[in-house]
Amino acid sequence: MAEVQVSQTEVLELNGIRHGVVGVMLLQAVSFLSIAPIWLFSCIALFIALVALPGLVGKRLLNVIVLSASVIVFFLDYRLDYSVEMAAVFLLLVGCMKSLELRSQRDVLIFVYVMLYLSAVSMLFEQGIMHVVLQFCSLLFCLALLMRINDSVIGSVRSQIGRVLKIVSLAFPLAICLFMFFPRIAPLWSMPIKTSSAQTGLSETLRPGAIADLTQSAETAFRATFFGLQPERETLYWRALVLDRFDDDAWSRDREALLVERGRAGIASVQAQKIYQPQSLSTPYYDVILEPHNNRWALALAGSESASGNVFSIGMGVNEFNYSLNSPTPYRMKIDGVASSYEGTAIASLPDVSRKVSSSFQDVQLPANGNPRARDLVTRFLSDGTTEIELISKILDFYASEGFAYTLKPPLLEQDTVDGFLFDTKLGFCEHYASSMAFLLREAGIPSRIVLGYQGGEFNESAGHWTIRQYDAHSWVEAYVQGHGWLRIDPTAYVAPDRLSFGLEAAVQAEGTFLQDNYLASIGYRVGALRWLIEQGDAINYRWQRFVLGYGEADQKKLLQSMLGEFSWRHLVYLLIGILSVLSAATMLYLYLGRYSRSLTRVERRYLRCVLVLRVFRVERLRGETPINFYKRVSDALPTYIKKYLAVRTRELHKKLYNADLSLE
Amino acid sequence: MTIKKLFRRWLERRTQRRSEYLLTQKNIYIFPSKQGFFFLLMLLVMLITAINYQSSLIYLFVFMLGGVFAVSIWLCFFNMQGLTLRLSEMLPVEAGEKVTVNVVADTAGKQRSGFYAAFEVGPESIWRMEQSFDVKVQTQSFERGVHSLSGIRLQTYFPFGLVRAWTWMWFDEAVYVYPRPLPSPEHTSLERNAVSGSGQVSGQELDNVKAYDKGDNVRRILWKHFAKRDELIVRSPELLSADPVHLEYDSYMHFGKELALSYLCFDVFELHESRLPFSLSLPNVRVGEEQGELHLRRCLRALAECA
Repeated sequence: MAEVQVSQTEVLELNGIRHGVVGVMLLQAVSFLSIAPIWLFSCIALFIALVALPGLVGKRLLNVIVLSASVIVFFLDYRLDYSVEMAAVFLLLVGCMKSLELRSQRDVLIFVYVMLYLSAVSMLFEQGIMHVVLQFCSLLFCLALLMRINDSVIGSVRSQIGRVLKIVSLAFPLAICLFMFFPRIAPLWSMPIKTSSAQTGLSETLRPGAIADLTQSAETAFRATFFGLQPERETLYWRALVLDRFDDDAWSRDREALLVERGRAGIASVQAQKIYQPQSLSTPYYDVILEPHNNRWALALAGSESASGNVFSIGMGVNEFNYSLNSPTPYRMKIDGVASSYEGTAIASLPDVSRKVSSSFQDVQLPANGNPRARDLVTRFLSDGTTEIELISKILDFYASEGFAYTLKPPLLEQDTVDGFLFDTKLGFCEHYASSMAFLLREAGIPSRIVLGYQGGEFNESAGHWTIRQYDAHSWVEAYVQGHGWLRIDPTAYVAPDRLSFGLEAAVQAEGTFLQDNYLASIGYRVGALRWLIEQGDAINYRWQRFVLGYGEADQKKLLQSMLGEFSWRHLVYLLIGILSVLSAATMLYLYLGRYSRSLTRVERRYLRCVLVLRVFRVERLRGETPINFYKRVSDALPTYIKKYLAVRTRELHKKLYNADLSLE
Repeated sequence: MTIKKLFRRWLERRTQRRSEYLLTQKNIYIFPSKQGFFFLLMLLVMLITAINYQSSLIYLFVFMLGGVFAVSIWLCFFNMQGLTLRLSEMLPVEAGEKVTVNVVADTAGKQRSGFYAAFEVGPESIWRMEQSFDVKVQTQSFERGVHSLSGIRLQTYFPFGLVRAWTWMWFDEAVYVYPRPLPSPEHTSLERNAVSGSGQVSGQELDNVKAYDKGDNVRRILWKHFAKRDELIVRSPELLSADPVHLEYDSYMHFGKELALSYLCFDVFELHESRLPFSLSLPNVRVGEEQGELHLRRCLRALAECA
């Protein structure tokens, strides 16, 4: 008899936690949408059905089949190819499997702890506001589950969530204080994130068509804020990579030179990943928060210099991190001024970038044969003794006068792509123009290279920052001319000036190919209200990234200096302990005075609270003592103001209970 | 295990037996539970993750959970703090029966929940304090005699099970354990006494009875008879005015002490059931002629105390 009862209560209890379990699983599934493979979601949907649908609960055979099937699919998909993503997905899978065998308190505990750790792991991949909101909800559900198995009050799920929310809100000040003042420690050991998924972004080789694909994405590439200068949109050429090797109709980075440069910059010898430590500057600078792209390159304007310690210059005006970016990362660059274009042309001289002549003459390298018509063209241009500068303008004029057009849907080119583009199709995107121009310049013996990066961006008026999206990806040419140094030449600007002044949308407006394959994003771009909403969301996300995600040692230093005038670890710890104890005392007092039964009236609760406060004065009400007797017994021993306080409360209670005025004294 | 025992002994020495316990910081003990330690371990792993990946967001998450842990310590403590506990009056218990006590709480008007109460020996009782202010807690059985209660542990894992607050209480109520009632093979005591009165109630004789009418006192129904014959009869009221019966220890003395007390105990219950006034004489005490619940209890206590 007794055993039957026990099992009944167990089942009842599991019924009570079902909502929470399903809620947590749903939330985690949603937050792993961009990381986990599609099949996983059907597995989770099955698990949820097995947990929640009354007809399927407790079907053992079904459970075993579903579990083993999902494990098999997992290993078929990942094949023990370890990456952090795989580990996270495995954790998600295992955690959700646990939901099928919640038989005792211990099972629920394991489920909850796995899900809590999963929340932390998911934050390695996603850090946006929406993700944080999801994980916060998941935290509430997890705590509600814990409460449900430890507290005898079994209210509705909603009331339980409400109680958890109250407790969490009490924990919030403590969390904020710890977040602000807990000393930030350098990584104990390096744990590279190996990810398997391809992320949208620039690639290290330039083939015709590569960037055109990128322009179908409206994802944010990075955000930048300028301090001390307000650049024009046309002048914002964000450099990411320099491609100096032309082979097989594609431009790429020269591996050997790259390794040498990395060695020279000292990146190779720095093992631990460098931490963001911005300098405070009085000269103009800009802050960038770069979205993860699983590569090392950082974006910078020509002539800028790292000012935050986590970015290294590796020559040719290129900057990079010493690890692959896997989370939004802030850095700071100082800059003297933005290179501005010569009036009316797309040529600008770049400050401080000198030509390094390497032994292999990498900046004039070309394959021995191929593209004969383009080579003929250069010979023709050079036949009348033109100077280097004149040659450049001749080439640009060639683009302007020979009927070239700017399009996001260029026709496919087979062999000898430069020839095919220059003389046959004459339709192309920035990579076609840059690629062909660099070819022509090198054929003429002028050192030149392709630069990959982004151009322009969108200025967010409300937050004051620039948002640069994937469709702002761009490529252009840099050429070294004796007496002028390195020049930035953007042949695209000659063909489609709107691209620079008004962005990609304006440049391809007639064609209607802007975000053509990305319907949702294009609606967002066109509908005014939506675009405003997107802009506001972007501003919030930017602030979130800047002030929360980017918060680190430097900010702690600054904060402490403004509070105490100086900074040291000891001060930080003292301050942390001080603020924590004040907050703790406040929270404890709040809890000590609160939590009176709902069945009491407000007046009764206030009276009880008053009696509690009186215990500070070593005065206690006896059991069964009436308020009036209590007052009479103790009032003489109390200080006047406390006596008055007790009198007010006693009178109030009397009035409430008996509806009669009471005169004490 | 030994540390636990040492701690318990230390507690027992520093806690006085009392009839009422007010729970304060002096007698509430609080420590993370097993799952609480696992929680802290998990937080440590998370913190290392945050440090190694330099992730502010994970830092924030860890601190959030840490804050929840801290708040749950205070909530756990305040869930107990201010409670006043005592036992409701204890009835004498039969030897060999498991003793159950009734713990009563004064919650001081505060909402409290999620308590577990248990004796050192015996099962744990869940106490839903939001529903009732008292709970029954069971312990082991005792031999005849007067015993003192072992410690009662009251504990709570409120709100998340991460922290356990507990207290030990040694109540000074004595447990009176009366002998197990046994029918005597001779009926000596009752029969001999019954000669003087007319109040002998053995199974077969149904002189002073009448059929049950509506309105008759239910307590006078002869249930044994009902079980055998399936007819409801009640003792007639005249019986109550019958002469007192005297129960004498001496009349059973030749059976040995414990057995004699058992026979006496049986007779006490019989007489109480038949609502006859009776007296009880034991070697060193005498309980005067009376009847009723209080009288019964006095007799049982005397039987328990009899040395």
